[in-house]
Amino acid sequence: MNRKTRRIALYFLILSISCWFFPATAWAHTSGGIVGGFLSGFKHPISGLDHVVAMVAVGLWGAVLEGSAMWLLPVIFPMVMAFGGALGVMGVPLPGIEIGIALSGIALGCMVAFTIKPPLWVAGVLVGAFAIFHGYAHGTELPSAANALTFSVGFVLSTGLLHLSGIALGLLYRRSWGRYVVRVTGGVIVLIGCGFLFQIF
Amino acid sequence: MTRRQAAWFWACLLLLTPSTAHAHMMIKGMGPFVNGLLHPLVTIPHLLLLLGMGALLGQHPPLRLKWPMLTFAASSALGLLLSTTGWFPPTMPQPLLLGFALVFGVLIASAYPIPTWLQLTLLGLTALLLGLDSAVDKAIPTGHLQILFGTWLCLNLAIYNIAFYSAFCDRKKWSQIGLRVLGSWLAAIAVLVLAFALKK
Repeated sequence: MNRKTRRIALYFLILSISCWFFPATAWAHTSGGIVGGFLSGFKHPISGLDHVVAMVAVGLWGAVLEGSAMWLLPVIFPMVMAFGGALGVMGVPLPGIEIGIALSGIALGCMVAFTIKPPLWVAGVLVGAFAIFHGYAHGTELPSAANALTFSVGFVLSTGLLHLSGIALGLLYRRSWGRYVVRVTGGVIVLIGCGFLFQIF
Repeated sequence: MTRRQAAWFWACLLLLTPSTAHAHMMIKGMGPFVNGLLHPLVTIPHLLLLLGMGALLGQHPPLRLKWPMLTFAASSALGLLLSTTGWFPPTMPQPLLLGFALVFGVLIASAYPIPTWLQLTLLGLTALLLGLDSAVDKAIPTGHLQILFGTWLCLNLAIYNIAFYSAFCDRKKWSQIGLRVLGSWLAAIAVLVLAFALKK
């Protein structure tokens, strides 16, 4: 990876992580449902480790797959996740949500750990399928009192930043030592997914 | 981006400091013109629509703004004037605004080039909606015309700037990707808000 790419990756990583602290200071002096809705939405995707690892894994896997997948997966995931969220908000019954979420961590982690590179459409379908589970879970947990619009903005922004973090970390894959870092991260995600599947956490 | 452009960008971002986000409230200490000018920037549905429209205009080069400019300026002016007649409710339904944002989001995310007539139609309708949704609160005694003019100016300046800078995204692959990701986020936000609205 050349200097420029390294700088971009570092920039994204710092930006993604720092944005999680930014709203606490930028919105500190206001009150009411609008700010509360944004903060509530922003914190929602990062409130559960099972969600966090899956979002990061999507970005990681996209970076491992390289090419179009690097952006296609983070484009597909929020949109399908929002659709799943809509199902959850409207109360459409969908079984096996928690199992699906745990499996998403295991499956996506395995893809990264073993650097499995299926055709792009397969990766898209897999990510989309898991996105529905995550979106549905968020949709059922959404507070009814929150301002819907600002909640959605915070929620989608937080999800996107998690993907960016994964992509930034995944850019290390281009270095020889970085491959080990990325694959070990995938392995950790698999273990966390197993932990949730067998309800260790 | 030059330093000057970056400075303007960050200065504009400061305008987004979240004191209040109520659509028709006057910000104390500011005149009616400035209130009108800031109104679209502190109204989140308007901001999302402007981002969507602007990004869509600039996404497919070459950037052609003559007819979009004229369409948007005329439609937004018409919408603002109609909002004073009392024939329409003071605010448009949020699902309607977000429905358009969903369309823009999907088009940007897919990078699908639409025909010019469709682009202008969407632009005109959205501008009309934005104008209708920017009715001045009747409780405000004076300065209605200044508020409306300020709003009209901001709407037009915002969309043309967003379109102009979005057109730069064509130069680098990363920025093209970023634009498509922005589109997906816009679509996702719109879907969630529509779901909330349907639930009610």
